[in-house]
Amino acid sequence: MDETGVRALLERVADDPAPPSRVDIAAARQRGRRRIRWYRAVLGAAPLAAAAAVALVVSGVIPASLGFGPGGHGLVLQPGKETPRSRFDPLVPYAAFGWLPVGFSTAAGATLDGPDEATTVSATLIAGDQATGRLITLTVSAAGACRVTGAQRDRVLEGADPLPTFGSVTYPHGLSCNDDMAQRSMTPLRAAAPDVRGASAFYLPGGGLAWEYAPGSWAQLTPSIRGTSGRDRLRQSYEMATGWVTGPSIGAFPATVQSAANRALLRKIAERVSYGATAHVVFPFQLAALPAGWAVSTVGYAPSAGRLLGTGGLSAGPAYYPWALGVTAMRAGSEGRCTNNPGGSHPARIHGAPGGFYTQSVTPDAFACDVDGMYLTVDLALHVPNTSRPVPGAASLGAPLTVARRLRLFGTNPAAWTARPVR
Amino acid sequence: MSRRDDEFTEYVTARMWWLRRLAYLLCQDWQHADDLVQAAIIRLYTHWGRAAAVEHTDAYVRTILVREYLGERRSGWARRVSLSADLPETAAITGDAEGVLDLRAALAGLPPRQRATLVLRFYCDLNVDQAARLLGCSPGTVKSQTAKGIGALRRTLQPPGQRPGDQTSGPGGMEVQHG
Repeated sequence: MDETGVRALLERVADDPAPPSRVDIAAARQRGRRRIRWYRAVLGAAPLAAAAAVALVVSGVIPASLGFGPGGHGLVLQPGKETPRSRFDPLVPYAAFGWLPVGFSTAAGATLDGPDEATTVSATLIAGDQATGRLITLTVSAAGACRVTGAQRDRVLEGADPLPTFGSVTYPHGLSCNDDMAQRSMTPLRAAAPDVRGASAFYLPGGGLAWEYAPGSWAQLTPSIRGTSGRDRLRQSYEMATGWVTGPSIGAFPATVQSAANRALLRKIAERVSYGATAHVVFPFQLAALPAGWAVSTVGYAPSAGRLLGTGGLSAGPAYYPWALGVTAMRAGSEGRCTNNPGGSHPARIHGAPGGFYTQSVTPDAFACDVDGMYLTVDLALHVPNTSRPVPGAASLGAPLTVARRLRLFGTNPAAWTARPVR
Repeated sequence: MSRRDDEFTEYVTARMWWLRRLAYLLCQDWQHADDLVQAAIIRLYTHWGRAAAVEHTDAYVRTILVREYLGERRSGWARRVSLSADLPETAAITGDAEGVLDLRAALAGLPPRQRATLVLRFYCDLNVDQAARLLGCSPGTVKSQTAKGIGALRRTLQPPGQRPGDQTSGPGGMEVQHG
């Protein structure tokens, strides 16, 4: 067999008669919208930070070795003195900013499950400056969720995003964490930084900072710029020049690095991060019950008037698949246009209000544009995605529409919301 | 629906045939292929602004699909969950009527990355550099994966008794072209 034979083989196999498609475009739009909402609400800064790192690698401006001495696993680390915790309670955020630069305020937060373990391993907080569009993302990982690796070659290739460019820079060390919703993330450690409250710290490509706040427990601060529009990109170019984020060399313009002043700013923020659960997230809904063995795994929230509002979505499931059930409830109209019967959905009533639900999707959704002033979505995976394996206990919940109709709702006034999203 | 939704729906509807077949070639199971396409178009929707703006949207979507497939194999779920029936490493040829089944089994017997390399090179007609960029590896790795893949297919599809190592086997070492 030669190349011609392989071509013929592939053509022949591709001509296998296909069964009717189960692909649901309407459901993909719905899931995609939800994911966009999530990223906008909670994780909006991460893609930009990644993009900045990509740009650096593409331009080849990152030197192969910076300030570590011998490569390999020879790092001697001094952890911070916080008490290590192997999981966080998603309903009670674990970390908070103790100090932010003038103009910044905490915009959103989330506590996330890792992809491999049934533990809640990462707490993320985003602070932003409305006037400048500058964002700072704090990610605090539970003990054991991150580990320092040896030389890391080309972190871009580890990303799931289909960015069409990459380079071949080797970093002396990296930080491998399972704090990402999709899969394990890899962050190269660019250079040693001054200690953060006695803990070993490192500068990151793109201008971030990582430090070991407790034994085996890592935190990261990442600066970025809000948005992805043309105007935002212009803003990002400007901020590359100011040294808020790093930038590639373009034509005659040299590459930029994060300024010393901004590095000092990040270190000051890192020094004052407070650890330990304090305030509870409150929700505008309450689930009737979860199947045995299920737990809340992921929560997105936004601070408002002294409360942490759980409007960024809640996921729950068994350890086998901790995101089997997803519920979001936010103020009606806050997500823009909503129609009760988009293509592929079926009309339904949820708590007396018109809504819709999908029937063909792998993870079907139920939604209502305005239930007692709230936009509501419920999605439920009866099977683990990409497999035919049922999610244990999911069938007992019935359908997403059933879950939606059993929700207890508390209206639009956060003062009436509950800190117990599961009865 | 919004303009974004309209454009997305129009594109995906038009390219569904191609997407499903590409996914099927990668994973060798229609149900799994549909799940892969579903996951890929969700991701596509979130990146639609960028995808619609690039010169070759098909190439962008193909990258999403292949990386979804390879990422799934790398992820914890692939380790913990049996994604699809693993077909045997080799398949015997017993007659023309079973030819397609044998071809499919031979393809399924390849490691995922090797199979993806062959699909990209010889079904999607990417050159070595393009495939290397998509797979996130060096051109040399693409060449070696291609050679290994073709060699494995050749061995698998060779009639019993003619495979290398068989007592009655003929001369092996067929030339493999790189390009």
